[in-house]
Amino acid sequence: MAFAPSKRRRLKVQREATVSLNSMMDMMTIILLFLLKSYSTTGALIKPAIPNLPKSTVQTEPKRVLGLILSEQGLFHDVEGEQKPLVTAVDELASEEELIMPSLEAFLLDRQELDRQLGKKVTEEMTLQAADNIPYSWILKVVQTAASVDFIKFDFVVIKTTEGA
Amino acid sequence: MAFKPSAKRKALEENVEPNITPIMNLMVVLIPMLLSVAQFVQLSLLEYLPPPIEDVASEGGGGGEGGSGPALMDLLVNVGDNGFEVSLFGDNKGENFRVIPKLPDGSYDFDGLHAELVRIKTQIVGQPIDVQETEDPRTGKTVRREIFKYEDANKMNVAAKGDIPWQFIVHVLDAARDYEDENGAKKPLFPSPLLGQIQ
Repeated sequence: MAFAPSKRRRLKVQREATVSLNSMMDMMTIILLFLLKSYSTTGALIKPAIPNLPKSTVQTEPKRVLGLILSEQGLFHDVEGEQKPLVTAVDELASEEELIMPSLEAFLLDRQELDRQLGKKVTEEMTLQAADNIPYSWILKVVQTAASVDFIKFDFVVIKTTEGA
Repeated sequence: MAFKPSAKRKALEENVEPNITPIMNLMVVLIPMLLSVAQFVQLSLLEYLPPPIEDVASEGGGGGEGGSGPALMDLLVNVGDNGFEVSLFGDNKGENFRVIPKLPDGSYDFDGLHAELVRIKTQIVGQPIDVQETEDPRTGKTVRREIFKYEDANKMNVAAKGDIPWQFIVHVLDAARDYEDENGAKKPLFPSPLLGQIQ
C-alpha cells in the first residue's frame, strides 16, 4: 500500500558514535615531548621538600648524601615518604644557650655508627634544604653541631636563578 | 543484470580507524613516570666547607703585613643593620674599612658589595704569584692552587646577626663567588667563605 511521503515509515538507522582520539593523541604527544625535554636524573635524587628554598646563582648539580630539612617547624631527616622524622625541635634551634644541639649530635653519631656497622665509609657530608626565611643562627648551629662530630662538607640546596639578588 | 558503469553498485570504502590503544597504553605509562622525575624547578648546591677545628684554634690574629706570621688579609664582611661593612687587616676605620649603605628603598646593596669585593681582589690581592698542584687532604683530589701574596686571599669571613634571614646570606655568598674580568672571563672572587655570627 502506497502511503503519502509524509506518512511513509522512515527507517531509522542506528549508528554507533565513535570517539575521535586524534585530539587526545596530539595532547599526549605534546605533554610527552615536554616531559622528555625536562627529564632530569637529579630530579629523582633531590626533590624540594619545602617550597621556599633560597635562590642562588650557583650552578653545582645536586647529589644525594645524608639529607636534612630545616624549616620553621624544625629540623627533619629527609627520607622518602610523607612523614619526615623530626631530629631537632624549634625550641632547641632557637635557644641561645648552647651552640651544640644534643639531639642533632646524637642523630649524627647514630648515623655514623650505623655506617661503621655496615662497613660503609662514615658519612662526613650532608645536604641541607633550608627555607629562605629561617634565622641565620639556626644554620650556624646545625653546621657547628655537625662539624663537632667530624662532618666536613655541607651542601645547601638552593633554587637556581640568573644573575642578581 | 548488467548495469552501465555509472549505475553500477560501487563498494563503499570503509573508514578504518587505526588501533591506537597500544600507543595510548604507552602514553599512560610514560607520562606519570616522567612527571614523577620532572624538574620544574632547577636545583643546585651551595657548597660550604668549614675550616678544620685545629685551623681555627691556631689562627691568632695574624692580620696585616707587619706580623711575624705569613701575611693575612683578614677580609671581613659584616652584615649590619645599616648595610655592609667591609674590613681588611682587622681595621675598623681608614682606607681598609668601607661601609656600603643600604639602598634608598631599604634593601641591601649587593651590587655595591660585589663591586667592592672585585676592587679588593684586583687592586689589593692582585694577580697570583705562583701556581701549585696539591692534594686536598679532605677530599683526596688533586687541586691546582694559585698562590697569592696573602695566604687567605680566597677566604672571606661573613658575620651577621642571628636573626638575619638565610636568603640574605646566600645573596652575600653569590656576590662573593666570582666576577667577570675585562675580557669577559669568569674568575673566582672569594669562593671560600667562613660563616660567623655577630654577637
